[in-house]
Amino acid sequence: MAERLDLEALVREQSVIVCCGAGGVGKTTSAASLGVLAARAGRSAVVMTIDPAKRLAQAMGLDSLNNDPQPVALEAPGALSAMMLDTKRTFDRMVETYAPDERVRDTIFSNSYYQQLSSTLGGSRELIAMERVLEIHNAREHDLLIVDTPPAQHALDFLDAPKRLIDLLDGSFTQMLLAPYGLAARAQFSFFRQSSALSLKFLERLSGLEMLADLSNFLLAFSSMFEGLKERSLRVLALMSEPGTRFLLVCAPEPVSLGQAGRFAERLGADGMGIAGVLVNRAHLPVSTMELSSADRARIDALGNPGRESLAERVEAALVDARRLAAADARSLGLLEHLDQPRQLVPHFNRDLHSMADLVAFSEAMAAKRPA
Amino acid sequence: MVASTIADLCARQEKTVLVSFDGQTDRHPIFDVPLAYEPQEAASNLWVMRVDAFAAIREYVHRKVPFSGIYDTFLKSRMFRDFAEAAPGFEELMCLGKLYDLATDSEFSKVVFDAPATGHLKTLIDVPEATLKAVLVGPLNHNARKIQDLLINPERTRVVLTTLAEEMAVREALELEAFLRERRMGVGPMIINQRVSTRFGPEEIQALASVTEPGPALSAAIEAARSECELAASQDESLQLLEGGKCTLWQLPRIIDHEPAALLNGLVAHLDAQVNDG
Repeated sequence: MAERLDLEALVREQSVIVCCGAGGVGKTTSAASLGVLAARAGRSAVVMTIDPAKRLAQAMGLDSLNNDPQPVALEAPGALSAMMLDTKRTFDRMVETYAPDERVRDTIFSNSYYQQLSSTLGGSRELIAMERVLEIHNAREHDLLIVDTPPAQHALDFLDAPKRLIDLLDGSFTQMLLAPYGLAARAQFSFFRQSSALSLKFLERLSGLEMLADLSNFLLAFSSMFEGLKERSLRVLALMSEPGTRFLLVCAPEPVSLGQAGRFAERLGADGMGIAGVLVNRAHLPVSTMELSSADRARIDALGNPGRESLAERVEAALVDARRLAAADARSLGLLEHLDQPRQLVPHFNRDLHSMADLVAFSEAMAAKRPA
Repeated sequence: MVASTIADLCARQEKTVLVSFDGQTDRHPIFDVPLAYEPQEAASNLWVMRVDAFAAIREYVHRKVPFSGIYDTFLKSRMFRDFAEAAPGFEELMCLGKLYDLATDSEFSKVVFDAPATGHLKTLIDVPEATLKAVLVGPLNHNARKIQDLLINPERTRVVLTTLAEEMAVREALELEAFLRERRMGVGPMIINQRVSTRFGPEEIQALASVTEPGPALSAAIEAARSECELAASQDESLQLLEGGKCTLWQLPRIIDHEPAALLNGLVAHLDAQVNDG
C-alpha cells in the first residue's frame, strides 16, 4: 500500500510546485485548488498556467488571465493570485533584456521567423515558461509558485527546453549556418568545408534558400544573446532541482494517464528532480460490498412509483455500477505500484466547478485523509 | 478512444488508416498492435501508424531527391536534428505533409487523425499558414500551400470535435470550434463522450434521501443512485452550452469496466446507430 500524499504539508513547505500530467485529468483544477489550500494555510500563492486553454480563469471566476499575477477573491489567512503565460510578451522581454544592442534587438523583432514562428523554436515556448517561472520566483513576492504545465509530452519538453536551446545555439548546425564563409571558407580544401557545403546545399534544396537565409539571420541575431540565455537556463535547471521545488504528478485512474505519470516519474528521477507524489483525480472510491437485504428492498420499493420498474432493482443496479467503477479504478491503480510514490486519491466530482466555493470544496477533497 | 471508434467504423466500408503523432508508446492502446511509422494492420481493413517528423523527412527526401541515399547519414545526424528543431514549424509541417500524402496518394481511402490536445492542435493547424507568411518561395512554401488547401477543403477534411459532458471541456470544445471556423475548416459533428443517463427521477432521489437509519448496504445503494442522478443532471446542464450550435451532436455512453476490444465494439455500435440516424 502506497504512503498517503499530504498535500497540506506540501503547500506549507515548498516554494515551487510543478503540476504535470496528461490532458483532461483535472490538472489545472488541481493546481488552482493547491493554491486555495496554500492560501488557507496562510501562504501567499500564485498559480501560473502555460496551457493555452483559459480554464484556470474560468475556474477562479476571473474574466481572463494575463502575464502578471492577478489577485483572486478568497477568504483566507494567506493570499491567492493567478496568471497565464503570455509567450510573445515574455519572449519580447527576454530579447530586450539579452540583446547586446538595439540593432540586434530590432533585427530579431523584424525577422519574419521571429514574427511568425519564434515561439516554436527549439522548445522556446517551454523555455519562455521556465523564464517566467524564474522571474516570478526571483521576485520573491509570493511564498509559493504553482505551475500548471501543458499535457505530459510537452511537460517533458518543459524540462528539456533550456538544454535544447543551449545545445542548438552551441551545436554544429548553428555554427555551420552562422559561419559558412568564416572558418569553412578559410579551410579551403578541408573536409569540413566540403561536408558543410554539401549539407547546406542539401538543406537549401529541402527548404529553400530564402528560408535558410532567414533562419541564418535569426540564429545569428539570437546567438548574440547566447551567454545570457545560457546562464539563465542553467539557473532555471538549478531551481527545478532545488529541494524547495517538487513535481506533482496528476493523473486519472485510467491506464493511459497512469502510464504517462509513470514515464514522467522515471524521467524526473533520472534527472534528480524531486517528486512530491501522485495525485489521482476522478477516482471512484471503494463501495460497500454488502448486499441489500429483502427488508432493504421492501423499504426502497415502498418509496417508488408503483407504475414504474421496481425502484429497488434500479438502485441495486446503480450500486453494481458504482462497485464496477471502483473495481476498474483499483485495477488501473495497480499500474502505479512500482513507482513507490506517496499518493492521494480525489473522488470523482459529479458536478462542474463553477466558483471559488467549488474550488474550496475540491481542495478539501484533495486534502482529506483517506487511504492511498 | 473516440478516434479509434471512428476509424473502426470507417474501416467497415473503406480501407482506413488511424494516424497519431504520439511518440510515448510503442503499442496502440486500443488495438494492441505495434505503433510505428509503417502502418500496422490492426483489424480488418484498418491500419494504425504513428508519424514522426524525422521518418517523414527521410521518406520525403527519398521520394523527391535523386540519389538521396547519399544524404542518409546526414539525415540521421545531430546536425540535421538541430536544423529541424531550429526551423520553427519544420517538424510539424513534415508531419502534416505525411498526412497529406496519406490522404492524396496512398492505398488508404480514409485517414483518421487522432489529434493532440486542443492547445497543441491549434499550434499545428496554424503551422502551414504561418509558414506561408514566413517563407514566400521555395519547397517549404509549396508544401505548406498544398497542406493548407487540403486542411481548409471541407469536402476532404473534417474535424470531429470530441468532448466530455463537463462545462470546462464543453467550453474548450466550443472555443476550438470557433478557432477552426475562423480558419475556414470543415467542422462537426461533435461527439459527447462518456455520457451518463440516469435511472432515477428527482422525486425518487428525494424520497430515497428521506430513508432513516439505513444500514451500510442501503446507505451505499442510496448514495450510488444519488451520485448517478447528480452526474447525469450535471452533464445535462453542461450540454445546454451547445444548444443552438452549428454542430450535429452524437453521444457515446459511459461503458464501465470493459476490455478495450469489448469497449470499442460497444462504442462503434452506438456511433453506427447515430450515423445511420443521420
